[in-house]
Amino acid sequence: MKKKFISAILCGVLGISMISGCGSSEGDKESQRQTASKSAADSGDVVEITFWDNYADTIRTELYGKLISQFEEENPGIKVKYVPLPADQAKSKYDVAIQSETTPDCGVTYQYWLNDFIVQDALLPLDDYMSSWDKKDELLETFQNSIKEMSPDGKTYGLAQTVTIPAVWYNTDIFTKADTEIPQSWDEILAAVEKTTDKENGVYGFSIRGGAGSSQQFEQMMYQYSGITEMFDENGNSTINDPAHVEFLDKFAKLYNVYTPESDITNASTEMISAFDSGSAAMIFHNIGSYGQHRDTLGEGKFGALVNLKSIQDTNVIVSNGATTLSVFKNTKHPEETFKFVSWLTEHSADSQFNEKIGQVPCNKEALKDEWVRKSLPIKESADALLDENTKIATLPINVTGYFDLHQNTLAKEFQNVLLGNTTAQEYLDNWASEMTRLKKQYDEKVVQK
Amino acid sequence: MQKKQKTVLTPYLLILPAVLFIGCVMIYPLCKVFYLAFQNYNPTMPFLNGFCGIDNFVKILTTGEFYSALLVSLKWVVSEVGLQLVFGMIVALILNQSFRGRGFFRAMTFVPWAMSGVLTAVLFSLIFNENFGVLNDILRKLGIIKENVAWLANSKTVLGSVVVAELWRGIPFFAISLLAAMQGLSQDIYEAAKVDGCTRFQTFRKITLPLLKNTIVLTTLLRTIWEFNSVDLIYSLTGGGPVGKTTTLSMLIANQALTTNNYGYGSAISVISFFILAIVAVIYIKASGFGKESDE
Repeated sequence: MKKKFISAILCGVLGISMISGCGSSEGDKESQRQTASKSAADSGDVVEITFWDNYADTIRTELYGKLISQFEEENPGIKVKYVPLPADQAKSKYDVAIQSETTPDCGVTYQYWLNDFIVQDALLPLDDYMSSWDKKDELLETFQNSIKEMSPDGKTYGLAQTVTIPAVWYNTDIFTKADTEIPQSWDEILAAVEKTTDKENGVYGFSIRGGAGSSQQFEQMMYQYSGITEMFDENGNSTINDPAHVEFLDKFAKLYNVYTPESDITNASTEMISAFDSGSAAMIFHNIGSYGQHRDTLGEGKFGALVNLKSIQDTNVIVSNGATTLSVFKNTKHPEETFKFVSWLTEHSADSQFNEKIGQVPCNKEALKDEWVRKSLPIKESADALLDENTKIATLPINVTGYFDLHQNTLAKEFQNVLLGNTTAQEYLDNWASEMTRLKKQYDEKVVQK
Repeated sequence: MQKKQKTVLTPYLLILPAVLFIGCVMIYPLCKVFYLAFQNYNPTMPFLNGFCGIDNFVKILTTGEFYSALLVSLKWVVSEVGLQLVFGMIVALILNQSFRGRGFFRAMTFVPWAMSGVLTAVLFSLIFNENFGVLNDILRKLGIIKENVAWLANSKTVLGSVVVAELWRGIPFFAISLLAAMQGLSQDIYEAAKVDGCTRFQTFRKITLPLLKNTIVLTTLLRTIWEFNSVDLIYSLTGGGPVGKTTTLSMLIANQALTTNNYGYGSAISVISFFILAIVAVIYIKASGFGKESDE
């Protein structure tokens, strides 16, 4: 009887401790975080932090390995555990980690994911840490300010590491063979698509991204064409169904299956880039990040990038979907060490090394002046455009909660209907505008005001 | 009295670990899906989360995407199970004959079954590629087509193309299952049929087929459930496109829950799918009289 009683008590205690262990309060967590960070610093123990990369590939794994070694050498008290995530699963991995409270200390994210994480209270604001960081002014203000301004509470939840500038890539050999001038505006591009198409030899003027990510990419193209820099008008209505966009989409959809391969309708970025790199497409629209692939397959000098196209308003607009960012997760027990690491990655040397290797545009102003940037034409053009005061930057409404889901769930699929002629450009963009206006209103009411 | 009580409890204690395990990995997730079906649950929109009654079901049943996906699922399952059964039966009948190298061919038949969906998708995406696919090359050389066909992008050919890819992977399951059942059939009946002057087709129709009935019912039922829930190959080959032409109910669930975090809505579709499958399984088993002969 006595044994049974003791067993029951022990089971009860164990059960209660398990339940209570699941639900520590926010105050407890903050206190644990401070204690852990302080005790580690005081005792001189080595602190291990986990770092998730949202785009696993061999180049980046090797590169981050090298950068982490440099960082650990400079900071012997901090050890970084690198975890590469497959690109197509990275967002869901982060979401699951947030729900199960198993987030890493820090990770690479996209600016257009940040608000999804912020509303789940998963990220640590970095403003306090940044105030005592002497290299913060090296970051490109355009993107760093945009990260801050686009968060619902006006705090900084990420440091800009890389910016993916959209570009029209063209194959110089195909243009020469077709005796066609390099275009400088979207209207000229549309004309060049017809001229450079040579179906008999398996060459198409353009390869469209009609599958995953199609609508997001097309959104950039439309705003670059129209020169509109505001995503919503003064009444909070989306500008996506502006007549200029309807006109552009209408013209563009007519190219499909005439001057483009039929299979473009299911193209994700990989297939589209392959079409360009294999020489079967004269042009594609993709960010500057594919530069390395074009260089390796077509060879330097065999292709070019149009970054600063003239809009119909005769302005130069770069339409950005934000920067690639480095964020610190709220669950970290070592916020100071983690911030030290992510900020170190955005400093001149690390940011320059990283972007040179992956062929992207660094968000560090000093890195933008480096020799390798000047030598690589597409990166140089992007850097020049970013540093040019006349260039207008239009940032897509990536902060509106539900924006990403709308593209994934509805807009990409409906875009295929536009290409097939089942839906008109006007209907498509009207529906898009109506959904974006609704989401923006919901965001303002439920997220910002709250 | 105490000893008798212990004896009564022992079997329950012995199966307790298994029950707990099944409870944790099956019953709990199942209950959670039913629970979520009545919730608005999207982690990226926590301000909208909460009980929503039957709103998710109303939305599903009043939007076209559900019926479109149901129709695609129906086409997918019927064509896959039907074709796999027919081709599996042909392969099993061939492999049941005596010929040189039979062991090797039996082993080779099983290879596609061991392939992962993603690997199969890569193979077939290369075969079906519009520009450098081997299928277009062969058909052009034979003069059957003049222009390359985008098998996986044309809304008229895409479902058929994905069906062919899955068919290649699914035939071995039927072939091996039916072959195993054929080998268990008594040779005396076949000898008697031969003496009575039955043709090969008559022997197959009057003897083999009826004796394989239970195996056929069970394998087709299992395959129906698997194909209904199958996502990997479609996801990797077409992602459900173009314009939803290959979006089955399972693809719709995957897109809703995994891609857009709409777990409540996705769970509601899962609940409907669960009942559709359960009803189909019960009707099928009743109508086929599965296991009746063995009971008698």
